[in-house]
Amino acid sequence: MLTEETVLKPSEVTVQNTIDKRKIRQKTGKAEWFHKSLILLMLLGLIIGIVLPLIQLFLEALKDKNGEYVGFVNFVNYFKTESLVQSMYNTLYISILTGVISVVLAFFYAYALARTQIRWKGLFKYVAFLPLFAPTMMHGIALIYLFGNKGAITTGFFGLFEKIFGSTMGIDIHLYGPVGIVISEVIYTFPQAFLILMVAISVTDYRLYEAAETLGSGKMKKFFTVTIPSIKYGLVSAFFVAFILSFTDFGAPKVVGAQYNVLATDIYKQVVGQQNLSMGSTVGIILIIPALVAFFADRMMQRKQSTSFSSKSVSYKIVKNPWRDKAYFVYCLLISLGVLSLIGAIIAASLVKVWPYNFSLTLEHLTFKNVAGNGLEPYFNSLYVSFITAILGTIIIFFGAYLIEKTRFMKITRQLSYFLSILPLALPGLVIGLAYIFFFNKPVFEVPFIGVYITNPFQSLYGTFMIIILANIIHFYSVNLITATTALKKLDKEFEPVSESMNIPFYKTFCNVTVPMSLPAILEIGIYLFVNSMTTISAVIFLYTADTKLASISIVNMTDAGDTAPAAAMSLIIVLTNILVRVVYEFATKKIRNRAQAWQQR
Amino acid sequence: MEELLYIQNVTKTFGKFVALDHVNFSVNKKEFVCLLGPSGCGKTTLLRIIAGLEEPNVGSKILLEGKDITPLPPSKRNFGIVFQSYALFPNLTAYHNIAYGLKNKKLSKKAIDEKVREALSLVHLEHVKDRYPAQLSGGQQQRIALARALALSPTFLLLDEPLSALDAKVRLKLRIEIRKLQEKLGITTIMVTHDQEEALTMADKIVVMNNAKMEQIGTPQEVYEHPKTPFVADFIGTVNMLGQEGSTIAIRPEHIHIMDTQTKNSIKTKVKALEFRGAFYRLFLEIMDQSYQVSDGLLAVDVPASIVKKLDIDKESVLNAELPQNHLVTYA
Ligand SMILES: Nc1ncnc2c1ncn2[C@@H]1O[C@H](COP(=O)(O)OP(=O)(O)OP(=O)(O)O)[C@@H](O)[C@H]1O
Ligand SMILES: [Mg+2]
Repeated sequence: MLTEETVLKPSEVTVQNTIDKRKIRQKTGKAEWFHKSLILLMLLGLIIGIVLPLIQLFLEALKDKNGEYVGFVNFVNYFKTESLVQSMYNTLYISILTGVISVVLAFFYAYALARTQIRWKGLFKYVAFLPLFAPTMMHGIALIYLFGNKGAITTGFFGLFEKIFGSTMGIDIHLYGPVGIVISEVIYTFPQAFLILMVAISVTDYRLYEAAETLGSGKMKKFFTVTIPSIKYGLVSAFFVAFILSFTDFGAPKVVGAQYNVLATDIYKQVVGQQNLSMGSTVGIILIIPALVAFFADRMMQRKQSTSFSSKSVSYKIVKNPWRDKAYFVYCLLISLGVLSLIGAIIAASLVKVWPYNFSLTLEHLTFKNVAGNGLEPYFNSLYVSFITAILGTIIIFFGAYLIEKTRFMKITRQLSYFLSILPLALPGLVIGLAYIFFFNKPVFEVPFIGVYITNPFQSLYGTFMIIILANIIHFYSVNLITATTALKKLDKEFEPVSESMNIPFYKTFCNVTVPMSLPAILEIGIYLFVNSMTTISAVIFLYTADTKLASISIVNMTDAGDTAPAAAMSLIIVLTNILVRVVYEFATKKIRNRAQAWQQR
Repeated sequence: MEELLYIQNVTKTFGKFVALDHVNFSVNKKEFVCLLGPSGCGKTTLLRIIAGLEEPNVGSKILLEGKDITPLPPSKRNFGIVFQSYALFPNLTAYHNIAYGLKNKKLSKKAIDEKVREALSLVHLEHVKDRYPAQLSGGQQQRIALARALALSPTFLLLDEPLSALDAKVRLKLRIEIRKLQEKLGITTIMVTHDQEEALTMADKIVVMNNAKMEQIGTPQEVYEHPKTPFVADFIGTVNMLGQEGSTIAIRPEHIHIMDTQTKNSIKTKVKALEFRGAFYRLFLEIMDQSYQVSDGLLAVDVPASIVKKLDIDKESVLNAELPQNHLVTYA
């Protein structure tokens, strides 16, 4: 037995002065084994769901039409083909324009809601989020009904104005092509830009304004020296988001693009139209590049930004100013009317017999008979896919975030998993869809250059709903992982150590504490997955078969076939479903969210 | 005294950074040991290694009753722990927080209930058992966390700055309460703190740490009276550092004698400032003797209020200060 004395005299203890860098590995019990296996399983899942399909896509881009590896010939050909290069410029033009317009419009809208005393703020906020509930094709279709050849505004309300005012007062904005695409994309990206800017503006420190005030800054000066710099990260972030969304969007250019080609429609044409898979994947890879650049730029900016806010920010006090309020009220009203008129056009288009010749009401379009769709079946397919995506996706994503965030084992594995989890943020839906065809449709994989063949164990998924669900989960993985991670970071990081000290296995604390505490975030993830799975087109356009057709796909098919009215009707049902689900969610979960908030208070 | 825990050569690196460098000490049964040191010196890391929440470097050893527990996971070490944040489960009531760890022990419902009530009464909080953590004061949360740790009747207790989130008054009260409880249960306890007063008042034994290394170990009296290094002298209590003939000597303000007459060992000083501290005055003296250099410029001396009155001490008074040999600590 060692006594106090021996400890006080270090010379008697076997003193070692060298440091061995290796760590003592703990013996693992059953729960720890289980825990570690789950972490490995997560990494494996991410590799199968993301890395392998992407590799397959890259390999495909290196092949020629006959499947022989030809190196970067496809890329060289791409830049030699004038029409293809032209669509790259087109895409850049569209997305930059969209980014700028969307950010400017959203900035003033957000400013109005955060920094003025206008009425109807609640209403304006809901309207701003409306476009999130619709597939992008809907914006295009609505614009056709308003500004197309037979559109209400182009024809001066079908000659109505001519009778009243003596002139048609029609305005032709030459919708088909860049104009239509940009307007659709602005509408599509507006809610996202608005959301980012709203947050950025609301967290700006009021003390900055007080400081500006004491220095006697004028209003304009204050705006440019305080407001703009303090939200510059928000502005850039919003621009990136709008840019990437429109850069990779497929729905709007498909519907109103006409002969104006963009990268997204090129991929579709190459793959579906010309069966040129190699060129399709080449364009797909080019489609990733700006998103990847924006992704890393955004990551770097966010790292800087986190230091520029103090938790003690004082919130803004709004000064009275009736003229300012009037101007902003009119501004918000105009934008809201714009958004609502789209929905109005869609409702009208869905319910009238033959636009613009017979305006008698009918429910005929809502039956989807005798059109390129398959009746209501695609809609029910969409409901099914969205529901399963929401349930399965929420479980996988939240648990994935938990494994990454709340464990002390396998740090490197978890860091790698985090990187892979965030990567889909830079992957356009089209690319995911394309990569999935290549990966899941392959009977055998050949490991390149060494001639080893492996049978594909996942091929049976091809053509099923499951592959669509999987593509959706990966497509929306990152955004929701961030939601989950943010919620988990708010929980005390000692819950797990305390449980371990009490010999409670991790899964019990996960169920008893982590999940109940994070329920609001979990529900939010579920609803996000549902709504987005209802509206998404890009990832699934390559993956559907006759049996697994979705509502959004049937919209594209119907517009392709000229059945615009039923396409409008289908868009309408999707929007209404999403709104309904959201409203039911708000009411049904109010109690849960309030309770969780009460627990959070300290 | 019988030894319970033995920490031997514990070393921990994070990449290139050395967080703990060969730490050695032992903890006797029923002893209250404080790990004391400035922020970042590795206290929490050491506590987490003892708990098994961090894996130390090869060569480190932790013995529990002579058995090597270094490779055991936390769940096999049988200890209770209270974190600075308490880590109470916010969605469970105080009662269920305490019952949480007991549920895995294959006890009957009645036995669990009994143990929970017992733990609640230990910390005198029976009346708040149905409240959620958010409805408890900081001090109450702290005691519930303690009750939760104790309910499992652990072999030893680990506390990581358990009082630092509380305001001063509550902190003083809980110091006494925790110590009383520890003595009553006779549970071996290791507490991390960076508050020297807390360590001095609560501990049987203090382990002073600095820069990943152990500086000194001993009873509060030993550490206070005979600091082995200038760091310990400076970190615990107030100390004057004097330079004399190339060596450094340390002496506490209350150990310096003030006299109106000159003796063989005294030095001549002049009062530059004085602060009233209730029972005593703290004088700041300028040394008029060139052979001493005070590192802070002025010598701090604590003098009972009665003596200040008797000698009529005020600014610019000239006094003789004697530095008693038995309180001088000399460092090379
Ligand atoms: N997981 C980790 N990775 C890298 N460095 C770490 C890690 N944990 C702790 N450290 C470093 O080890 C050193 C000791 O940390 P520790 O938390 O033990 O300090 P402490 O003495 O408890 O300080 P405090 O009083 O501030 O709590 C610090 O410099 C810290 O930055
Ligand atoms: Mg600490």
